[in-house]
Amino acid sequence: MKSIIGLVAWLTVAGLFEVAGAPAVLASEAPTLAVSGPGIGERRIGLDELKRLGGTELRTSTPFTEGVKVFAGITGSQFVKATGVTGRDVHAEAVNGYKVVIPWAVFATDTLLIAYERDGKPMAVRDKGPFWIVFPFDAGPEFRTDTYKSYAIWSITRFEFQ
Amino acid sequence: MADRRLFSQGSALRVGVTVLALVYATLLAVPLVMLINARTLQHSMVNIAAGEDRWMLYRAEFEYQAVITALERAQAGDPGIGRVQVQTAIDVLFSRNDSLKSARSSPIFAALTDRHQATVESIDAAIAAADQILGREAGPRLSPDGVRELSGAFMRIGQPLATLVRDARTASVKLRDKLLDKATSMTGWLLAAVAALGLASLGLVSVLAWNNRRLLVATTELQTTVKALRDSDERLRFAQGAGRIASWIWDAGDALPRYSGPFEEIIGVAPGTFPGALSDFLQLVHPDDREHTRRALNDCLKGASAEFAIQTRVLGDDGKLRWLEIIGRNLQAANGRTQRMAGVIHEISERKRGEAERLTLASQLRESQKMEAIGELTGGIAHDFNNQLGVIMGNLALLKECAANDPRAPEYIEAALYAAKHSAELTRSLLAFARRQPLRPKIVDIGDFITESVRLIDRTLGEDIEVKLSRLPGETPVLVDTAQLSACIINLANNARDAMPEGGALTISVRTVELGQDYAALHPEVDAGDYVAIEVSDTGIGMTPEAAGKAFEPFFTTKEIGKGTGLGLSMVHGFVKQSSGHVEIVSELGRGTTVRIYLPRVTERRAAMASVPLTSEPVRMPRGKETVLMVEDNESVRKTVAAQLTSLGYHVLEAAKGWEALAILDRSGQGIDLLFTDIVMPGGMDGYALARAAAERRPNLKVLLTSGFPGRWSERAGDRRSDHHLLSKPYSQDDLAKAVWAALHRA
Repeated sequence: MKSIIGLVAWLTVAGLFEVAGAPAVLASEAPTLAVSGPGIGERRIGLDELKRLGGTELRTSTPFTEGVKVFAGITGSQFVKATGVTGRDVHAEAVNGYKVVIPWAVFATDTLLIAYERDGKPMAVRDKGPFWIVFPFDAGPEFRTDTYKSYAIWSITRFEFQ
Repeated sequence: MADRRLFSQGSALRVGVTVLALVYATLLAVPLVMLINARTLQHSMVNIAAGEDRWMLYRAEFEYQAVITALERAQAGDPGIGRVQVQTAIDVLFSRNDSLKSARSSPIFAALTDRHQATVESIDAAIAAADQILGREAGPRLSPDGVRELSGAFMRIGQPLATLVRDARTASVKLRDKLLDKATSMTGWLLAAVAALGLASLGLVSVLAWNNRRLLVATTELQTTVKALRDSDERLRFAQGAGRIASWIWDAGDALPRYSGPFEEIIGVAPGTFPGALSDFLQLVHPDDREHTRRALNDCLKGASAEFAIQTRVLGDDGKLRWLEIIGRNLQAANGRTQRMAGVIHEISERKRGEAERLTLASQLRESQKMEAIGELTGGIAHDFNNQLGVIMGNLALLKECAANDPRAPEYIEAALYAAKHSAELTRSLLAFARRQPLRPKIVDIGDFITESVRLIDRTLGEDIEVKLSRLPGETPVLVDTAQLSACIINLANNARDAMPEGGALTISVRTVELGQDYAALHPEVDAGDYVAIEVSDTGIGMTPEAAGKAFEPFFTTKEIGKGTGLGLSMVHGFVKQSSGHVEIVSELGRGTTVRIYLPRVTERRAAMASVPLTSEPVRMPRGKETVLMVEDNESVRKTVAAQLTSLGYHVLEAAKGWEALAILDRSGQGIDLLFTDIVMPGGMDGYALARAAAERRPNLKVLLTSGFPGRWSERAGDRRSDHHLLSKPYSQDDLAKAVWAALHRA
């Protein structure tokens, strides 16, 4: 009984930590993406599973890095199609608790890329990994606007569809 | 004038519009450039507003504070902060620093290169130091020394980061102010451009309005001119139509024929059907006139004559013959090559008709004047001849008494008397023609009179000639000398008979007729009014127009020599004229002749009409014993007549002049019973004057006037008293005896 209470307490604390956005345990393990929302419930998607759901490549520079990079990832539309998730807004949260809200019309497109590799390698937190929303910034001035820059959240740990 | 001004205004307008268009283009370029600039400016402004560069800086500062906070919590023994948490915070700071580095060329950081470099390097250095310290830590929890060292490493970032934040804020404000200034000045320029555009538009509108006004004025003027022209044209058209004048232009070769006005109407072709060429016109000209018309027109066209004016006849499509006057002038073109002329045509048919009528009238007047002159002449001759006849007849009568004893004498004397009487008849005819025969007119119904005459004529003309009487119903009273009229009718019947040697028909008709003003206008000697027309027509050989024209002249005859005196129609003419009538002759060779006599119809019947008694004069010559004062300037006549009167038993006193007669009257006093005087006498006192003077001395003195010019009696009616008796020369002794007896015994 005491062990059950301890387990519950641990899970609670762990949940709290998760909510705080600093899951210490997960840092060293294979990166996962917590996803919640209508049509998908509450689940965690690992990097390998995410790669299986869909993959595409994007060659572009970004306002936050120097030089052209080759990004690999899953597009918003691929992600939505594969997971069956629905909603109006997507609340994306970073490892340090930073949050942005992306409209569905921007998220569920082929131009939004949930990148998981840069130049053929998984991205560490220091490299704005493990997951980074990238747009084809070189494709047109409309992507070089502040709106799109603000959607380009990195070190993502969670998507909450509402 | 107006169009020239319009033109100059047009060029001024073009210049104005061009200048304004250039101003417009320039002014429009300003906002265009501004628009391009504004896009860049907007971009910069938005960047400043969003604070993108500073946002990166702030995120880096935030993550730096997150690291410091995590280390402070760890130092305070917070169990939630372990190695992993600190490591994550440092990793995030690292990623932020990475982004901060990439923004080093941004507008703000470009101005703060040193500080920016110092900051990113200090962060790099702190993270590198932290990585070493963390590498030494073994457990999940950090040692207090480790935490302290880490704090020390990161505390060194604070200063340069704070400085950068502060300077970036200042630079951002400066940049914003600069951009705002630029925007303000751009707004100023834009406003200036808009104002200039407004002014330019105002200018353009003014120019257009000014021009519009001038255009309106010019248009109004033009309209007035056009209207005036149209009115003038209308008036010309009207004048041309009213005056029947049309103008034309003809070229050699009929290159450019033009005509205006009622040209087609004047030449009598349907509107729009006349081709207009000179040759077309010549086709319409009457063949008799064509040659001279063609010559006149062609001479002028070729310049052989400078101008021409001809009269010609054209035969229109309507079949009417019109008289035209064509006046033209050569129009030599400047190059001398084009042969051209212009002019007018004018219809003068009316004028021509008028001229023809005037000619007829003039010839009629001449004719009547000629007749008058011949009448004067024959009258004068007849007068003198009558005097001589009077002497002859008087002396023959005296001789008859003297030679009573010789048995052969009466036969010779009677033959001489017969010849003298026949001569007297001739002179009577002459006097009749000269309208100077004494007439005894009375009112008679011509219809009745002619009916009676026809019966007489029918008997005398013979069986070959059928005499017809045509009498229209109606009263035909006329004041006329029936004996003379009868002589006229017989004369005309004889002429008709002579004109119909093979026999034929003689028609005498009587009708009333009204001669109107029109007829009177064409026959100057005729007064308009009601007339009775007596027409004598035959179906004989007729006369040529020339012969008919001379038929009334005395001594003119178409008969063989010895067959006619040529006085028949002359007598008719003179008698009718003397009776205030009119006579005309119509004849056609081979078809017959008609003589028409018009006598004035008497509208009031006089009571005396049917009751003029035929005076039964005594067959014997009446005789008397009274004293007669006889005045006659011609001595032989005076002697003869005095002898005749003496033989009739009268006592005769003779005087050659008026004053002599008055002297005798004064001397003889009551002894004189009758003043017998010639009317026409030389020496200032004529018969009338003498009669007046005698009446002053002897109011009851009987007067008998005599004259060879009885026509003058009526002319001087005022001189003649009603109780004066008349005796026309020549007279027989019988006439003399009756006249003297009547003057002495009748009132």
